Parts: sequence; C-alpha cells; structure tokens
Amino acid sequence: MAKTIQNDLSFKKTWHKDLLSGFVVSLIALPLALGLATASGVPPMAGIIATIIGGIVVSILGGSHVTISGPGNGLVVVILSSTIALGNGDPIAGYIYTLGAIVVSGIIITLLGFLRLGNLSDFFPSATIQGMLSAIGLIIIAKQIHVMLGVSGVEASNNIMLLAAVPNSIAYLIQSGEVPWVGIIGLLSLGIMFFYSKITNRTFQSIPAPMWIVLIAIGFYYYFELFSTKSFPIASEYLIQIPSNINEAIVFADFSKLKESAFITSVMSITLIASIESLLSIKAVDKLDVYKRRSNVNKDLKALGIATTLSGLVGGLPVVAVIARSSVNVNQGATSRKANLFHALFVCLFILLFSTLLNRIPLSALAGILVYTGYKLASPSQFVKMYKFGKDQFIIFILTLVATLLFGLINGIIIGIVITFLIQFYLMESRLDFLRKPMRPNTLMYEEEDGRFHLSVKGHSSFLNFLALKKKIDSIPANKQLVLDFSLTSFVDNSVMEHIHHFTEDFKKKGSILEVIGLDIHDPTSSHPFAARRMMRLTAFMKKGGILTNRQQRLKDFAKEIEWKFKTNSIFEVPELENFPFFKAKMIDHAYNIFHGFSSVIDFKVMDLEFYEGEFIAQERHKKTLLLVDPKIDLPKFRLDKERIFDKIAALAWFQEINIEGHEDFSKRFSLKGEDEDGIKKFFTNELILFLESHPYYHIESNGEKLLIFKSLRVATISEIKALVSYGKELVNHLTVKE
Amino acid sequence: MCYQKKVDLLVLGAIQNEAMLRYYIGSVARKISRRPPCSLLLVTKPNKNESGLNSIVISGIDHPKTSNTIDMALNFSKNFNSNEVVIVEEVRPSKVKTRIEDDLTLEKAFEERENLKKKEDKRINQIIELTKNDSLKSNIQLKCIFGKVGYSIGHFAEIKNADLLVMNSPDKKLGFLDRFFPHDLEYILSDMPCDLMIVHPN
Repeated sequence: MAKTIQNDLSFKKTWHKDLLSGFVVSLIALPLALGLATASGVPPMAGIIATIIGGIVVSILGGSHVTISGPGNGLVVVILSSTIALGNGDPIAGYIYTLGAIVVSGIIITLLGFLRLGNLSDFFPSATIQGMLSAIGLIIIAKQIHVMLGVSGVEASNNIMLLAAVPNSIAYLIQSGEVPWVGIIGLLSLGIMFFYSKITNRTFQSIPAPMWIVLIAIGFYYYFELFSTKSFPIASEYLIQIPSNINEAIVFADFSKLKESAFITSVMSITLIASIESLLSIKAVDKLDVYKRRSNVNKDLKALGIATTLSGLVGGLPVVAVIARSSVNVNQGATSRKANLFHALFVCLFILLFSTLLNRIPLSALAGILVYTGYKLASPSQFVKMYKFGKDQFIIFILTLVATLLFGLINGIIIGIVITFLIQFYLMESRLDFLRKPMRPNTLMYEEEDGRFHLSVKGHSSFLNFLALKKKIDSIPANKQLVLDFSLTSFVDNSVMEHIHHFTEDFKKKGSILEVIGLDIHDPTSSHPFAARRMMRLTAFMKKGGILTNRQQRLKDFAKEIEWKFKTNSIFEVPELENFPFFKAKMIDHAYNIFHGFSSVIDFKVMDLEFYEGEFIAQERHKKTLLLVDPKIDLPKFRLDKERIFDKIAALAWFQEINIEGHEDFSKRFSLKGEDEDGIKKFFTNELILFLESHPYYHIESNGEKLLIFKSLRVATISEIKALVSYGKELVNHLTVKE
Repeated sequence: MCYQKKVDLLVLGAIQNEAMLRYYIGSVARKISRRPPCSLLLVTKPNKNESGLNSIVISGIDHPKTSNTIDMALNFSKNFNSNEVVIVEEVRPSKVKTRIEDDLTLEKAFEERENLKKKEDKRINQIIELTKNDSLKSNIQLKCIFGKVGYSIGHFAEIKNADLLVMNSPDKKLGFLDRFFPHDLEYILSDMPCDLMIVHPN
C-alpha cells in the first residue's frame, strides 16, 4: 500500500497539481500576510518575509505533507503586545526588539522538535484551548474593527474596553459628515468574507475571497484615477505601505533587551502560541489528507523553528503551520510539500511584480479580512458548542476567555488549566486516591490472542495523564484493531473523550476499528457525547434514563435492525440465572442493557451483568455480557467449555467429564461435564458437534431449561455481541433439527 | 524469627488497599514484604481459596531470579491444580529503539517489538523446559507487555481476575522514598490486585 501511494505521488504525476493549488493558496496568503503583519503592528513586508521563508524552509525540511506555513493569526495578539511592551511607545524600536524575541523563540521551537515535544499541544485541556482561541479572536476583532471602520486613535485600557468602544466608532463614523470611504471599503471587505461561501457562481468562486477584496480595492483606486474628476478620497495614512525597493524591507533583529523580563515574556508567549497553533493545525490537516498520511510532528516543529529563526533574523514574523490556508490547499488537490514551496514562490513573484499596485490597498480592506478571521475564532456557534459540552466545560471556557482578555495569553492559559483541574477535582468521586497518585501510570496494553489490542485504563483518566494513553494508542499499527476498556476508571474527562472520538475516526479512516467499552456505568455530566464521565453511585444509576452512551445507542440501533427489544434500566433480580452452575459461587448484583428477542418460539436475551464473589473487603466485582437462550425444550444439564478452564466450578459441583465416542478431537478440545451422561450423549448429535467444532469457542451451560452462552470475562463490544447473537441463533437451529 | 528457623514460606494476611497514613508509615505485612527474609504469601481474600487457585499470573521479567520464581510458581500451581497460568514478560518500552514519528517508523517499531517478543518468549520457554513441568505446558500462556515494569503486571492481574500474582523479591530493601516514587514491586504493594507471592531466592 505504501508503495502505491509513493507511485501515485511521484514528482512527474503531481507537480502540476501542486503548482495549481500553490497558486490558489498564494492568492489568499498574500492579502493575509499583509493584513496579519499590519494588525501585528509591524511593517506589511514582515508577513511577506514569513510567508516566503516559511514556504521554502518548511517544504524542504518539514515532516508534514499538505500543510501550508506562514504568519499565523493567533500570533497577531502576541506580536502586537510585544511591540508595545518592548518599544516603550516607539513602534519601530518595538518591532526590532520583537524580531529578537522571534529569533530566540524560533530556536526554542527547534529545540522542542529535537526533544520530541510534538505532543505538547495534547496536554492542554480542550476547553482551555478553545477559550484561549476565542479570546484571541475577540482581541483581533477588538483591535481591527476600528481600523476597518476607518476610525483611528481609539485607545482603551484593556481589550474589553476596546470592544466596548465599537459603538462610539460607529457613531463617530455616521456623525462625521463626509462620505466615510475607508469605512465603506472595510465593511464591503467584511461583507465579501461573510457572503463569499453563499454565492455559488463558479467564475466568482474561482478567485478566493481575500483576492476579490484586493482586486476591488485596487479597482476602486483606478476608478478615481482614470474616470473620476475627484481625487482619490483615502489619505495615504490609511493605505498599506510597501517599500518599492525590497532591500528596504529587510530589517535586522536587535538582541540588546535579551535579559529584560518583558523580552522573556514575549519569547515565552511567541513560543507557546506558535507551537500550539502549529501543532493543532498539523493535527487538523492530517485528518483532511486524502492519502491518510501521518505527519512527522517533531520534524515539522524543527522546520518551523528554523524558519521562524531565519524569518526573525531578516525582519519577518514567526512561521507557523496554518489551518485555513492548508485546508484550501487540500481542497485544491495538493499532494505534497511542493504546494507549500510553490505558494511561497508565487507570493515572492507577486511582490516583485506588483508592489506598486499593492500600495493602493486601503488598510480597512485588510482589517475586514482580519475581523472575519477573528469572528471565525470567536463565533457564537463556538459558544453554543461549548455550552453543549456541559456546564463544567462552559465555565472553564468562559473563565479562560475572560482571563486571557484581561491578563494576557500565558496567564490566561495557566488560569484555565488550574480551573480545569479544580473543577475535575470537584467532580471526582475518589479524590483521595487521585491525590495519592496523580501522575502514576494507569494504562496497560497487550495483544489478545486474536491479534486485537486491548488497552485498559484504570483510575482517573484526564488531560493530566492523557499523553501516556496517547503514546500507547499511537504505537498501534494501522491494520490492527483496538478495544479501549474504561471499565476500571472512576473518572474520564472531557478532553480524553474528545481525543478518543478523534482516534475512533482515525481508525475508521484507516480501515480499522477502535471500540470503546466500559463507559456504560459512568454518568456523563451532560448529554453531549464528549461530556466528562464519572463512576455512578448506585442510586444515580437506578434513576438513570434518557442519556445513552455511544455503545448503548449502537446497541439500540442493532436491536431495531433485528427487531429486538432493548432496555437500559437495571434489573436487580435475575431469577433465570440462579440455577446455572456458573453462578453457584457468585452473587448477581444487577443486569442492565437488556436485549430481548424472539425468533419463532425461542426466547433470546442478551444482557450486561454485574456480579460479585465474596463479601466485604474480599468482594470482587465482575462485569460480563452473556446470552440467555430459552429453546422451550427439555435439555440435559451440562456445561461445555474450552478444555481445562473454569474447572474451579467443577471442584464444587458434582460434575464429571463426559467423553463422546467417535469424537476424540472434540473431547480433546472441549471439556463437557454434566450429571445425566446418557441424556447428554443423546443431546450431542454428530451435527451439533460438527457445528461446535467449526465455530469459535464459547462457554455454554444449561440448567435444564435454558442455555447460557458467553465468551470472555468482560463486557462485550458491539461486534462481539453481534457475533454472540448470530452464534446463539445458529446453535438453536442445530438443536431444533435434532428434536 | 524467619532467619532463625529458615522458613520456606511465610503466609500473611494483608489489606488490599491501605489508607494514606498506614501506607506511608507501614504495616507489618507491607514491612516484611519490602524486605522479605524468605518467600512470602500475602493473602487478601481468605474465602476465595476454597475453590483453589484457578488462575495465576507470574512475572517473567528478564532477571536472574526469574527462573527460580517460575519454577516455584509452577510447582505451586501444579499442587493447586490451576487451570490458567500466564507468564507475563514485562518489557520496558525504551527497549524499542525506533521512535514512532510517522507511518514508516511505526512499522519499523512494530517489527522490532515483534522480534523482542519472540526473544522473550524463547527465553521463558527455555526456563520452562528447565523446570520440567511438561504436564502443565498446555495451560501456560505467555504474554509480552510493553509498559511500565511492575505496574503493568498488577494491572494485568486485575483485568484477568487472577487469584495469585507471583513476583521476584526486590533486590534491595524498599524504603520510604520508594513509596513516594514507586517502582516495580511498590506499585503492586500500593494497590494489590489479588493475593501476592513474593519468591525469595533462598
């Protein structure tokens, strides 16, 4: 398979695809680079430098396949605050010092790559990251909306006040009397960004939205230049300024503030945000990749770090992997890193050829693009989504967001993590136990006999120890199946649930299966599938209704398919089971997820059962899925199993081994025991024995009326239940034939 | 006392999970098991043993003491008529030299793991040959687990609902600090999955 992909991806076959997608991406990258740079408070060329250096360096050294690299929107906020903090009011000095910080953080990012810290982003709880990203979105909106409206000189003490000043700006715009051309272009630009996807005209769609804005803005200039008698109504301070000589754009970094605390804060923020943004993007783009390749995250991180260092050295912004441009890249049919290279070369070409034309673009047009990207990060649907995740997640999200707006990114994310920890601690059942072993190993993975991997998680499973779990899952080859068993956990948090969901999708994409078991007895904090879960108390368990786990939902669907009944509520007395030898030394606690069906005259019942042996401190609880069949005929009492296992029960019971003549192989492989030897010998016809021999092992028991069939000592997965049901049905067929 | 009488096996009752204070200060059972003078059997579920020791999990870690431990455990299981004997070979994940970065390295790492597994299985099989427990052979399963040594086997015994877990004795006395930074046997002592037998080489 790997070979065919390599064949498909040979240079000859793909270069034209990559050239085309690189071209389309460059149309977006150019206006974005200019806009991001101006929004960051640095000269527009800084964004262009980052795009060109990033595209070239990362396409040569990187480890991802179809990601595009360049200046990122998350960093706008960081760079802006850094230029203000380091420049002490002088934007140019601030820019030069910030370049120093960019170079240093580029070196740190490279080191992170060498230290293989590419899974760093998985550590942060998802609600915290969402809160931080939404805060970044709001900050971008807060800063850029005034620029977009063409109102300059809006000052506010913090970001929230800046947002509150928006109505003032609008009022000012209306009252000013003149035609607010700058604001009109800004609003038009925002409108194009919003309604671009709604217009389905193919010629219109062939040019990306940001490029339309650039073209309209330039066209607007030439309208006044060529057709109108009035002069161009926008003063040059509202226009973008690109030096006509490219050499002027190259600025060298200044490291003289290296030891100052503001410098160190800047370096830390840049490093953190750049690596998180890159890692999240790389992961998201891997999901889009048509060829299902896995990116080498650490290698990519190294390349991004080197690119950032080089970019910072000559006056550019940090280089990160970006999601929006990358997804356009994938949609345009990109196949390899060459698309990234081509996009950089095209941007380079545009700058060399059209730099005078680009000088006609009003800043407000670019601000419109940025307000839209800010809106994407902090859209109302994001808030709704977080609310659906559950109240706990929403609180974490909102608090992180507010903290980030007020205290900056680093403090915001630290506060978010602390709040997440406290809320989880509050939700947890076994707090003392958690305190005793917060970071202890809690995962075990081994290969089962049938080649599937079994991964069991114990205790609490949260963002704190998710990395160990992820490492285990990541080491499973693509063609292997995984059963993820949470039955020993007392708490599973939201981040883990979300990651598991993504892993399930990854497995599906690769043609394999990841099945999650053991969560049915956990109580979700909300109805969302990613909600955190904790172990239910018994009373809560009895009241439970309505919210189904994924497994229960699929069981329900399966029940519908074969026209069986399905109930999730628990039954505390299961008299049918008590006569079975298997339950002789065991107490049945309760049965749940009961699956009830009739086929002709025969009764089937599948259930998850919790039972225990012993009492008090010596008590041991087990869970098992089993099938109960009532064929409505007289059966001899017997017990059939794989040879020699479960002999424990035999030690207590009066059974003895029965060998059936003429079937030595059967007797060798199965252990058949029972009282009524003649009856059993008559019952086991040649046909039945052949059936048993040719099918996988199941433990089968009879109490004279009913048959009990099960396989392993744990709760079964959906596919196992399906196999169990069809086995039971076939088995009964072989019985009725005999009658 | 044990030193004087040259006891072969000392049987002690123990609690499965000790409360915080007692865990750090120490109980008699745990104290002895941290520096066992002889082979030791810690029993947590007294009434279970009526039905015999059905399934036994044995540590087959790569260590000079292991062959003796397996020998003793197998004899033990023969006497108790155990049906399911699993020898767990715990392998440190760091033994796999290839780091998983992308699809190619994943394949390579998996191959390396398979080789390690074969090697471990071979080693254990040799030990079983030496102990001459052929009658039991059909019941013995080998399981190779890549994970934290000491922790994995305890977790495994819990999943398997084992009745007895057999381990080597610790090489040196386990002190107070080991309880804060647990390793090997200490993981099991802090959260006992089932009865525990610690086999001392003498």
